[in-house]
Amino acid sequence: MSDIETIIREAYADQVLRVPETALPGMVRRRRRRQVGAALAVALLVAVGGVTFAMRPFQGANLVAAVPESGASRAYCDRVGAEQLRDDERVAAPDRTLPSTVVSFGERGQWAHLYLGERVIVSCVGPHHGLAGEPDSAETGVLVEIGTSPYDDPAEQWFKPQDMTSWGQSFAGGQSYRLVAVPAGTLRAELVLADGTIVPATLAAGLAVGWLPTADDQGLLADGVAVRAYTRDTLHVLSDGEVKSSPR
Amino acid sequence: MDDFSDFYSSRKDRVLRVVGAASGGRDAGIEDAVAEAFARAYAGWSRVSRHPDPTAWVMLTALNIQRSWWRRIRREVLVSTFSDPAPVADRVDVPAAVQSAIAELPRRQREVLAFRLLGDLSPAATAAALRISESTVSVHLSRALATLRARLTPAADEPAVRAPRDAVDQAARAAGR
Repeated sequence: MSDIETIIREAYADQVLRVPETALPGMVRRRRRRQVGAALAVALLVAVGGVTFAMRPFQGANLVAAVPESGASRAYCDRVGAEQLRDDERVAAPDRTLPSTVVSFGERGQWAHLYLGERVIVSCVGPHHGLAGEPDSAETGVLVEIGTSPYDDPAEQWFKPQDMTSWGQSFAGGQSYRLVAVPAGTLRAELVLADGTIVPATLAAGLAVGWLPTADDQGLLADGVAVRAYTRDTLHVLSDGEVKSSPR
Repeated sequence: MDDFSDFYSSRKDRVLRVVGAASGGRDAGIEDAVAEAFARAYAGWSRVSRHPDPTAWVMLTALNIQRSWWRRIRREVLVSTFSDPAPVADRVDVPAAVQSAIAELPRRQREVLAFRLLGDLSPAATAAALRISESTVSVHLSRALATLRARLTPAADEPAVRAPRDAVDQAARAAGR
């Protein structure tokens, strides 16, 4: 082992996870107890959505990859998504988690379903490294994650079109997606990377979504990534956390 | 669940170190993310245990959780919610110089460094986990180590960055004199 490897290993050698194993089943039990309300919401959701979350996949012009409408991957999304909603204490009972929108988009062989609720997102992405959940072949692994609103005030609007609030998820394998609230009347939107690369975004229900070619360290839009939203008369540009509008 | 117990006890610290280094180590939510990843593994152990590499699964799950924006904004200190926590030692921080140097590496180099060096994953397992080639793993690791060596290894007349245990040992020796 080299000198520098020794320094690094020793630097981390005293890092220990302070969570006792006995806490894990307790965490799961406590979460489930707290999720009666969320479970009811899921039941309502299932009843409305018909067995699954699936409501109305967006058929956008930028839909490149085939998004599975059925089959093992989709069934896994729906089942695990429901389980995570039920188990996740962050989805509090007052949060009526009935998804109002389903966005499906894909590119470069990947696809994503985002089930958007009032205060929660269930993101389901595949294939994912072969290291996510079933169906667990290297080509068809699926990652299901829940995101909740960062705002403590339930009345606070999660996605603010005027601020072009963004949300995203990065993955260790080198890809990420971005979801941005765009102003009313947006006809077209795109993500602009630091090197000038333009990534077309799919529009759905006041939101623009798109894959970035690489993952970055931020769940928010990384520095150097801008979003352009074109309405009929105005160009809105989100850059460095600020929105600037100008006539087209 | 003995199986899970063995898995947890033998992997938990390693996963913490990997996530700490791969994420740059500046987020206090790392421990929460690792705990949550293990809780998910516990809840789905019948499935996770059949995974080709459960350790890598937990590492990636914890990384994904830790990276999530909402976790940063709305952090939950899970440790404080335990009703019967075992006695734990005070946190020992990674030396600032090491943490800072690793944090400044490009993200992919950090990940490779963490998975290979602190996670003890093989080049093949690291490549599979990060979905890159083994040769890319090798290149990233080599570059990362070269950068860190330049940052952390002293010139002839400078003191080396020491790990905490070394510092403790030195202090003990000094006190014993």
